[in-house]
Amino acid sequence: MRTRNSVWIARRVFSLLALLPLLFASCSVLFVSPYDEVTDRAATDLVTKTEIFLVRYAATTDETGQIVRRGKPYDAEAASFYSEARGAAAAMLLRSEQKDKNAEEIQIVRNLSTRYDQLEASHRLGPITKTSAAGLHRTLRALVQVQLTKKHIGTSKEATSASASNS
Amino acid sequence: MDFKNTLEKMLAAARIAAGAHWNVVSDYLEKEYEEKKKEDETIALEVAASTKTPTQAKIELQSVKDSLEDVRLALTVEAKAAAQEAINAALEVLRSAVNSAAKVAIL
Repeated sequence: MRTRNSVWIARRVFSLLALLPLLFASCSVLFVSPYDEVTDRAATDLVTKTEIFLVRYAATTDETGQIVRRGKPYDAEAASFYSEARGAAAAMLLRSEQKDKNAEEIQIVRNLSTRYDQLEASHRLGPITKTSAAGLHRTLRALVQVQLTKKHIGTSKEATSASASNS
Repeated sequence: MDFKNTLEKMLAAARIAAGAHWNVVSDYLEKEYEEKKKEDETIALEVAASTKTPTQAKIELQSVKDSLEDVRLALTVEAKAAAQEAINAALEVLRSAVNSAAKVAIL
């Protein structure tokens, strides 16, 4: 009876020891979805297209708020830009929604579409200036900031793994 | 295995990992709030100069205000990333310590 108990205990201890590496190996946490190069590229492309549009359509003002360089009024080409920008945001959203631990990025991309709506609404009423796109710029910066954070985590993880394997 | 030494190393690794993120958070937040103040002033000046209508200004000020929510969301990601990196850095130290104590790379 005593021998059977010892064997049972030994088996349990051995099983626990065998499971220990697995336990530690799985012991890394993930609070933020991994970096996605496609989303990063899509965000950068959208920033570029938006800046090109604003250079053409937004008026420049001086420190008193007076126009120093005229922009372009709302026209069919502008309407097409706003539609394409919203389309690009929708495509980004579709991809972002496929990832776990990505709630903040999803919300930023949803809000991005609203920022284009707001800029378009102002543009329909009259000429836009650089500050007309201030909210849109902030949302785009937030999206780019998220991509940089994710890229940084990925890079530092690789660096940690490399230094750990070298030591 | 020296548990006290390992714990100190784990905390140090976590502090370094989280510290890098804190610098990003404070710079980013400060810059965005400074920008927001300037934007509000510029929009008011542009309305006063009849460069844009009050209705346009209302839409644009709302857009500026709403966009601060996106700054908060980006900072939430940064905070989560800091926590993730701090915990994983500490676990990496623990893993190395266990491997060294065992004299074989068991983890």
